[in-house]
Amino acid sequence: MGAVSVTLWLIVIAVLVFLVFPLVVVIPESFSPTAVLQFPPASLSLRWYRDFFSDPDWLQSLWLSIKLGICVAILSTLLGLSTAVAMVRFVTYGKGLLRALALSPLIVPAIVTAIALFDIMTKLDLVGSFSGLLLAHTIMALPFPVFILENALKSVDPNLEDAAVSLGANRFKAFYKVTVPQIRPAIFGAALFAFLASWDEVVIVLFVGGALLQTLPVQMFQFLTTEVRPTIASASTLLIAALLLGMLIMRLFGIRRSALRGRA
Amino acid sequence: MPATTAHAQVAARRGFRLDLSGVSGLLLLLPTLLLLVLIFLYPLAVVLSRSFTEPHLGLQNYVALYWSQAFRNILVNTFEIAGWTTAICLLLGYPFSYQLARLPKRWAQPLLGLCMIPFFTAILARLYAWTIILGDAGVINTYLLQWGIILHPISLLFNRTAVIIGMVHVMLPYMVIVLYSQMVGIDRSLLDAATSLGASPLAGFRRVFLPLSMPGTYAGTLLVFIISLGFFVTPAVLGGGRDVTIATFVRQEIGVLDWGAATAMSMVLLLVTVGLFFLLDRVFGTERLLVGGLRN
Repeated sequence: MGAVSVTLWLIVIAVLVFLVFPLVVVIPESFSPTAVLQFPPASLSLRWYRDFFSDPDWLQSLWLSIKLGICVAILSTLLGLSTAVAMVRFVTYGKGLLRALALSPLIVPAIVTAIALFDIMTKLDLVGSFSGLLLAHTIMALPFPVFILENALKSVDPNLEDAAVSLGANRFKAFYKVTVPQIRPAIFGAALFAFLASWDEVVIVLFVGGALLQTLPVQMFQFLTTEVRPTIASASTLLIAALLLGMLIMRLFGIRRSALRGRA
Repeated sequence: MPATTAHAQVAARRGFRLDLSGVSGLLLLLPTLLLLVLIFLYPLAVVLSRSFTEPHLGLQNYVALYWSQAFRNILVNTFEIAGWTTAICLLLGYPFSYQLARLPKRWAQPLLGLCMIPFFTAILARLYAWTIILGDAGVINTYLLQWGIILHPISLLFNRTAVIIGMVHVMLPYMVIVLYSQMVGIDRSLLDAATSLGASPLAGFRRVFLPLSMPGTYAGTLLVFIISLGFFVTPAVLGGGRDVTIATFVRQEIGVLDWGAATAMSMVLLLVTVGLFFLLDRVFGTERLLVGGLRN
């Protein structure tokens, strides 16, 4: 049993190294002074960060990604909340079908969704427009808020809200003052997942964004499939740093647990 | 099925809700329904119908798909890559989850957290990392040359192996989540019981643990396989455009405005994916597996 146990531990370590090592490698590379890949870099410089922050293309795509992610997070969380309320409190039958519908953007392969959206956005003349991307990404992100918020709302006692109404609050105020605070962590979690879904999405933007609107991942994709300059290393490092920051924020808001409960 | 939930029953007992619940429910659902039906399902149906109408009405696109060697190669490529990815994820994920499920929660949690870091990292940052590691002047080649193991850089990037490595990196956390959540629920004292009754540890594992872990194993395998079929970005970046998969083919064909071939291929991908998902849902229940399926 000793040998088996050692082997198993070696596999655990190997898996963790395999999963985490690539992310660590990017960081020194971004401080390399040369354009040619060299590992580890001979000396350190901030050249590629300067490159990143002085290039209007990169900055524009970064700003677009942030703007789009936030708008998608807000819109899809609002839609998800109203859908979840309807599903938990009002819908009596057809719930399975509704849920399947709400989750379908996650099931349909992204490339298939992409050509469908490209087709309709062409007809609506929304290719290369912010609203086109917003609609497309909201659809892609929607399953997360619906799923997370439906689960969260199930555990809220509707009688509390009714009590508020019987004491004179109107329905909206009662919902906002009584129910929303109880599911606040789930709302943040839903918004965060929706943001990430948009933030990391490539395929849809490639089609719907047209030639003009390139989000950060698409800009990186174009870079990686054409030329490789370490500017992308600084972009990647910034993304990894943003992730760690995001995880920290989640921790601080205590989202992790509730978001995971949403997944269980 | 008792379709009415407790809340709805309570709501039904109350007068004013009874009158309004239908209308309010519909109003609340309306924005989402409109969005999903008008800008997702309807365009999906329209675009897929083009596989029957381009360039003229008929099954010509599917006939071509069936007879063309190139098309068949694309299907075979896609399934092979997804198959290898799934097999490696299972091979690594199973012992990993087995070991983690044996640990007390407070040890397992941070290790699982570590395993989830790539899950939350931007996909392009990860792909770039792999180009650094696998490239001709990359980490692996640099050290192999330095240590005198090889004389010339070996080409590790822009081939199928690179694609599979990249895909395993993306899919392994999914496999681990599913396997771990199944395995952590297995009562380990059953294994002790088996050994105390004279079974060897291996026999105990094979006859007790393995069968109990099978639902998670099937579910994880199917989930990873389904998601792997639709991969686009990873093959496009790490494959260097050499190994054409269904998804990269579709993009290429849309690029040259060959909607017939692109939509027929999409239809095949969609049918296989939805069919397998239906199986997954029927047999295992998808809800707990679904969240997090966007990154490829």
